[in-house]
Amino acid sequence: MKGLVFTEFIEYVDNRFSFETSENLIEISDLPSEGVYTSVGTYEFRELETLVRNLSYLTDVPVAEILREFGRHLFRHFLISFPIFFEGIKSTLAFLPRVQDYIHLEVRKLYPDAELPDFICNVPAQGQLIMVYRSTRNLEDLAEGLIQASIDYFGDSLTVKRSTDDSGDEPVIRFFIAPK
Amino acid sequence: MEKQLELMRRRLVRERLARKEAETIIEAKIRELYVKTQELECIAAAERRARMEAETLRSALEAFASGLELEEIVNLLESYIGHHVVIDGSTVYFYRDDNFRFYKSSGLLDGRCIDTELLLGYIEHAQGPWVLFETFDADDSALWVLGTRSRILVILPLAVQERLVGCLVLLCNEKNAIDENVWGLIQALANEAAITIENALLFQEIKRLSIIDPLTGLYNRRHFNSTATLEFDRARRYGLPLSAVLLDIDYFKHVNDTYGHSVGDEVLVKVAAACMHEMRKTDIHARYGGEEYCLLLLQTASDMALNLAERLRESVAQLVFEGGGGNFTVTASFGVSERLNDNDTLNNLLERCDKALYEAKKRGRNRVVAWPFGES
Repeated sequence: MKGLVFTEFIEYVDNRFSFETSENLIEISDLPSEGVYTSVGTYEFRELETLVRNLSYLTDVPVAEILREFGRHLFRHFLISFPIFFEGIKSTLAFLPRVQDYIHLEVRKLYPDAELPDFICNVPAQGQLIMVYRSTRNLEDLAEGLIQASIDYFGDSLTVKRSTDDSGDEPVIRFFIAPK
Repeated sequence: MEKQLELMRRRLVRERLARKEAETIIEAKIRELYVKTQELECIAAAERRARMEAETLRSALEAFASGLELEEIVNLLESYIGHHVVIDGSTVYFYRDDNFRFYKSSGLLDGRCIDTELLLGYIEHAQGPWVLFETFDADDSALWVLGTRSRILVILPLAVQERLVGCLVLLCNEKNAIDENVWGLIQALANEAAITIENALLFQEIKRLSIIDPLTGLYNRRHFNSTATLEFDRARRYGLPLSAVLLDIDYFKHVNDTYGHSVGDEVLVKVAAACMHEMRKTDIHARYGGEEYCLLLLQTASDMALNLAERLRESVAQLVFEGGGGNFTVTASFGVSERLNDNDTLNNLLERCDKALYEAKKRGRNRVVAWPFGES
C-alpha cells in the first residue's frame, strides 16, 4: 500500500487524538517498518490494519468510525495536495466517476506498481449514482468517508446507502447515492 | 515531562529515518526518469531521422520520375546523397556491353578513373555495395589506381533487380560520414535512381538508333536533314561559310554483283570510316542513299572543302578489300559546293553538289568536281 496512506493516517491520529496517541500506537503495534513511513514508499497493508485495530483499542472509537473519519481526512488532503483533480468539478456526481477514470489513471503513471481499488460508477437515473467498490481489503468504511467528505465539500444534498454482496470470491459493495 | 520528551525524540528519529528512505526512493525514481528521458530522446531522434529519410525518398522518387535525361538523374542522385553525407568526390559509370563505361567524375575523384575490371571484381565479390573504411592504411589496389587516400570509399552498384545498370563511387573524408541509417537511405536512393537511369539509357539508345544508320554508324538521312537545316540557317544568320560534299562509290553495283553483298557492306563500312576519320567532330556526316554519303562542313569555304574531298578520295582509293580470291580497290566520285548568298537554301546547295557529282562521274569517276564547273 502506498506510503501516503500511512503518513496521512499518522497525521490524522495526531490531529484527531494527540501526538502521544500516535507514538503509543506505533509503540504497541510492533510494525515491521517500525513506523518509519514516507509518502513515496510502499508498505504492507497489514500494517494499516494493525494501526486501525490498535487505535480503536487505545481510544475506544470503533474501527468503522475511525475509517470513515480517516476517509474524510484523506479527502481534505487530496483537495489541498492535488487541486488539479478537482478543477472544473462542481458536484459529487461529477467527481466520483473521475476517481476511476482519471485520478487512478494519473496515479498509475507515477506509480505503475500501485494497487488501486476498483470504483465502477453507473448512473441508474438522472441525479443518482451507483458506485461499486470491489476489494479484499474491506475498506468500504474509508470509501464511505471519502464520499461523505465529497458531498460536504461540494455542498450537495445527497444521501449514501450501502449494500454488501458476499456471494462471490470477493465482497462487492454498492454505494447508492441519491438526492435526499 | 520526561515522557513527553522521550516521545518527541522518538518521533524525530523516525522522521529522520523516513526522510532518508524518501530520498533514496526519490533518487532512484529520478535515475529511472533520466534513463527514460534518454530513451525517449533516442526514439525522437530516430523518428525525426526516419521522417527526414522518408521525405528525401519521396521527393527523390518524384524528381527521378519527372526526368528522362541521364545527366539530370545522376545530378539528382548525387545531390540527394549529398544532403545526408558530405561527399568529397564521386564517379559515375554506366554498365554497357558487359563492362563499365566512365560517365563523369567530380571533387577529389575528378579526372580519376578506377580500372573498370577491378570495379566489376569488387561488385561481383561483394554481391552488392562495397565499402572500404579507413583506407589511409589499406594497401588496396583500387585506391592505388585512384591515387588518393580517404576515410571511406563506397562502391555502390546501381542495379535494377539483378541487372547492373551502373555504378557510383563515393569518397568521404569525414570519419563517421556514413552511419547505418544513412547507408540504408543511400542504397534506397541508388535503387530508385537505377530504375530511372536504366530507362534513360534505353531512351538514349532508342534515340541513338533512330538517328544512326546501323551499318555504317553515320547519321541517317532524316537526322542529317534536320541537323543540316539548323546549321544552314545558323550559317546564313551569321554570314559564315558552309560547304557540302556528296560522295558516291564508283561501280558499287559491280562490287555487289561480283563479290557478294557482305563484301559490299564491308566497302560501305570502310568508306564511312574513312569519312569520319577525315572530318572534324563538328561536321555532319550521313549515309544519304545506298552508296551515297553526304558531308556538311561547318565554317568551311569551297577551297577547303575541295581539299578535304581530295584527301578523302585518296583515302578511299587506298582502301584494300578481299574478294573473289584476291584483293581489289574501289574509287569514289565527289561533288562539292559552297553556300552562296542569303537566298540560297540547303536543298539548292545539295542539288548543286549533286550536279557536280554527276559531272565527276561524267568526266570518268574517281575525281572531285566543285560547282560551278562551267556548265553549258
